[in-house]
Amino acid sequence: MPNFPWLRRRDASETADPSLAAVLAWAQFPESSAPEMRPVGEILAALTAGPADDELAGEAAVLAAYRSRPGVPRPAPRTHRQTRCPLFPLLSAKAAATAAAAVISFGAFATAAYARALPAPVQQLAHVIIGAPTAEDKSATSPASDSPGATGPNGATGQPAGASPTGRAHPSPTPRATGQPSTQSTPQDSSQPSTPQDSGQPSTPQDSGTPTPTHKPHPTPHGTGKPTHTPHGNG
Amino acid sequence: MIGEGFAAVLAAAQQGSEAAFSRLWRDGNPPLLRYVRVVAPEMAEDVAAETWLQVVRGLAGFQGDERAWRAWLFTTARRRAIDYGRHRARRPAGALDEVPPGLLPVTPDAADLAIERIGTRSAVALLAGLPTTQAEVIMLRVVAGLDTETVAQLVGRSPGAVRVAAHRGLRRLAEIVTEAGVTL
Repeated sequence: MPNFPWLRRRDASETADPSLAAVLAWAQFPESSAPEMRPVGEILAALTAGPADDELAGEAAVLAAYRSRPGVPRPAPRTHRQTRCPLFPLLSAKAAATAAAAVISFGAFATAAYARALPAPVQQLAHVIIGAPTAEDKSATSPASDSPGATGPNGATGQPAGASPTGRAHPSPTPRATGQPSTQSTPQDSSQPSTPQDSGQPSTPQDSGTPTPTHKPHPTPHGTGKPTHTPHGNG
Repeated sequence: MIGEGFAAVLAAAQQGSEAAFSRLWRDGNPPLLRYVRVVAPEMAEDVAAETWLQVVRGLAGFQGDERAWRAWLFTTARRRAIDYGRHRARRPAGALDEVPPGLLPVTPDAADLAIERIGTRSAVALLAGLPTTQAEVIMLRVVAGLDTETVAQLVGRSPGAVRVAAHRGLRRLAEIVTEAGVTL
């Protein structure tokens, strides 16, 4: 809005009034002001007086709006993650203990399995899972019955053609110093030491050479499963 | 006005301190209400409430001293009052008989002015009787505590026009009081 000259002159004359200038400058209303201006001072004093009761009545509503405004920093609620946090170390310890117990239990189970100390059904299960000897292995023929010379009709090894060199569908779990036949034993097996790779299975106390009952041949898809009693020359 | 501690109070309110915000509100709401009762007497409480809602929303982003704070507060109130006035202009005006008594403009009569000390409500009512620009300028200069340049920006006039309007308004007040026969 343009400043008109005549307004400027008026402005100059009115601002020359010290009372008005003082009032408008927030100063105290001067005592030397014109008498007719003193009521104005009273009015302005009333306008700037302290708060009345009705002017502070809406505080609760405003504070409610203030609390619910977006971005208000509030105490972080306990989240599910926080509630689980203190339990995490405990769960780790429990998990570790459980895992250790499981390993130990399995070790004991395997030890018993290879010692053929488990009940027959469980022993059979162990045989399937980890290749432990079956319960029937207890009644296997003695190593003598599986003499090195015993061969089958399929050749020196007593194994049918195409059979694996070891003639075992399942690897022998342990090397047997006593020459005890493996689970897949064929008549020839007794003459063959258990291969080192078979030692991948946990060793058993049988390694000490404790004599075991005679071996009962275990039928296999490769081996004859039955010792032949008729020696054939290797010729 | 809060004075030297304003910066700390503002920072605390922006950080979530209800006590600090309450102090800002208690310091700002009385002059704000008085201003709105002059420029928009029929809807003063609504305008004031809406103003504070706007302030709450924009509080975190505000930066400035106490003068800037007051300027922002009264600028927001003025805009809300204009919005309410436009909204009311679209709606058909009802007869005065339908207006609740509490919303009728209050003008103190001479007897009241003579008998009792001029209270705040009466002073506000006197200002409301002035021409709009004069009343608004006086309220912003005296009650809001804004300087001439800030008031000029707020009302969209030159600083010289603001000074003229303020002086004329005060002189008119003096005439009103003299005509009413008020003596101190």
